[in-house]
Amino acid sequence: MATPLLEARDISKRFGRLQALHHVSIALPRGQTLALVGDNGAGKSTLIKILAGVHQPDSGEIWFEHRRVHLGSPTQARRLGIETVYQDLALVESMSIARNFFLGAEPARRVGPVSVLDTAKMHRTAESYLREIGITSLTTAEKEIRLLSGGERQAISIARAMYFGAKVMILDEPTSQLSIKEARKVLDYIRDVTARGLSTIFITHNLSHVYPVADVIVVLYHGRKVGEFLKGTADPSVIESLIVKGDTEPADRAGGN
Amino acid sequence: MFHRRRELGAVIAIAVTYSVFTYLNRAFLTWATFGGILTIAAEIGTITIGEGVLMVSGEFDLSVGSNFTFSAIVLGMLLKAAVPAALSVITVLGMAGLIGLLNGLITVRTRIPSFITTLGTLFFWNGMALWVTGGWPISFIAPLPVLNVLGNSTPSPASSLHVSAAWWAVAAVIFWIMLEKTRYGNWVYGTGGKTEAARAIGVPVDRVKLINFTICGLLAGLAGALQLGRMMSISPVRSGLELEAIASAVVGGVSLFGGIGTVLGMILGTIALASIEVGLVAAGAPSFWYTAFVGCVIIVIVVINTQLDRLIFTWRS
Ligand SMILES: Nc1ncnc2c1ncn2[C@@H]1O[C@H](COP(=O)(O)OP(=O)(O)OP(=O)(O)O)[C@@H](O)[C@H]1O
Ligand SMILES: [Mg+2]
Repeated sequence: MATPLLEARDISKRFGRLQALHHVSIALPRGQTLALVGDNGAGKSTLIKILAGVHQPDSGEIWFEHRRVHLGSPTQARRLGIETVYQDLALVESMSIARNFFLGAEPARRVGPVSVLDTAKMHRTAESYLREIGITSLTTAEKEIRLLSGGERQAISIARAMYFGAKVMILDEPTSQLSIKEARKVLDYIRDVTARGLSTIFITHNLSHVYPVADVIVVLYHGRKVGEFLKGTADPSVIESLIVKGDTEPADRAGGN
Repeated sequence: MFHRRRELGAVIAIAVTYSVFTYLNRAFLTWATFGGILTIAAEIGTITIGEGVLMVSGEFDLSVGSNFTFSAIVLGMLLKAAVPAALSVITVLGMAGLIGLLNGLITVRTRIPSFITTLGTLFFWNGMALWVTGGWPISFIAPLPVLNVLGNSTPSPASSLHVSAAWWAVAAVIFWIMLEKTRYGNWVYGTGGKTEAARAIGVPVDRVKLINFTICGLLAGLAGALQLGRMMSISPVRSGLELEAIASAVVGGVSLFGGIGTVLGMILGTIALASIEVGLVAAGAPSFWYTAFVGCVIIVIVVINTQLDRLIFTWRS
């Protein structure tokens, strides 16, 4: 395994009486994709929110680029290059692609006394990044987000994270509300950005989305890590039973091999 | 691209108004009438720009009418006390901006909807206006130079256009640039479009709202100064202009839910309502018709905008 870019060591997190995470460790190698799977309430979102700076762990350490880091806020995480794409919090529907792409970090140039939005650059850059991640259905960055499909929206968030120099991209259920065709496209985008050297962590409930993309698969069960597999070593029936029961007894004997 | 088409409702309203009133009375289609429309529109329109920009960021200010009146009164009192003209105007604009900022601070700090907080300040500043004047209007007999600069109480006989319309145009250009052409404008759209998303990506949404409340207050004060200049008189009685300003913005395509709206739309919306007002007066209709009419126009235009929205979605799929 390559040296990890981002590592969570022995993370525990409690919400009141509920132990959401129990001594969980994961390591994300540089330029690879880690899939986090598990049943509802297993602690997946909690773990990535800790990596995104949204929650602070009760105990455990986070290491990034060989240094121990403290992720006190989403801004801090983003500054390090850890970008999180939340399904519904990423884009403003009433604004154009270009205006969304640069929201909060708009390029401007001086015209006399005022600093004016560089709309030409905004459109050029947004369009070229959309082309680069292979989204062919959008040719203009003028379009408003609310007119776009869920897959196109994910693509824009991914392209934006790429442009702003993310080293790690975290996606919480990026395919959950998409059609089969669109989900496949989003998986392609994830594969593409990983091929460019980005490292990604993504959560999904659909195991068929995991196998073609993930280099590492981590299974959580009731806040504990119950399995970790490298690409190709994962037996689908084993993973399924880990997700459902937390142990490796085949979930469905009749269906085994 | 599409949000620009929301101004269509106001364009249609202007076209229909002009057709109907010109049919009723040929004299409606003259520059003098249009000048009269722009003169009425200038004061409401200046308020509408501030209100509209604030609405785009997802907030309301119901106190603009009271701020308008109170500012005009304070300006009148300062001028009567022989305070230098420039100093008086600057003081009043600063005060109006602070009144707006105060609305913003109360709203942002308490997280109470601005509809409620500014309903409170509507009554408060109205009360202040009545208190400082004792309920009497403030009037000037002889026109001061500063009043002519603000509102030109004696325009050229060829048109009824007052200089206040030029101040409105200046405000329109400034805030058009701000909304469409600056980084800050992008933040305004983001703040009103989806506050939490904008916040998550690093837009200082609370600061955006405070600034827009201040702009809104300042423009309400400017509008008060313009009207004092034009009429040489101001009454402390409640003006009701806050609802006309919101109506103008909505007719111009500004969304009541934030995130959508343009300065061009705010201007067209104001002109639409002002031409209805002038048209009804010219046709000899009693003034309450205007109030009833505005209600109908708002409903029709909001329906048109909603239907257009649906149409766009059907085209997409
Ligand atoms: N902010 C919070 N306060 C209290 N409890 C929380 C909070 N966030 C999560 N939890 C609880 O922690 C547990 C793990 O939640 P988490 O969201 O991490 O699950 P998940 O694996 O992402 O599930 P799903 O697949 O349904 O999204 C759940 O029982 C949840 O109710
Ligand atoms: Mg979750």
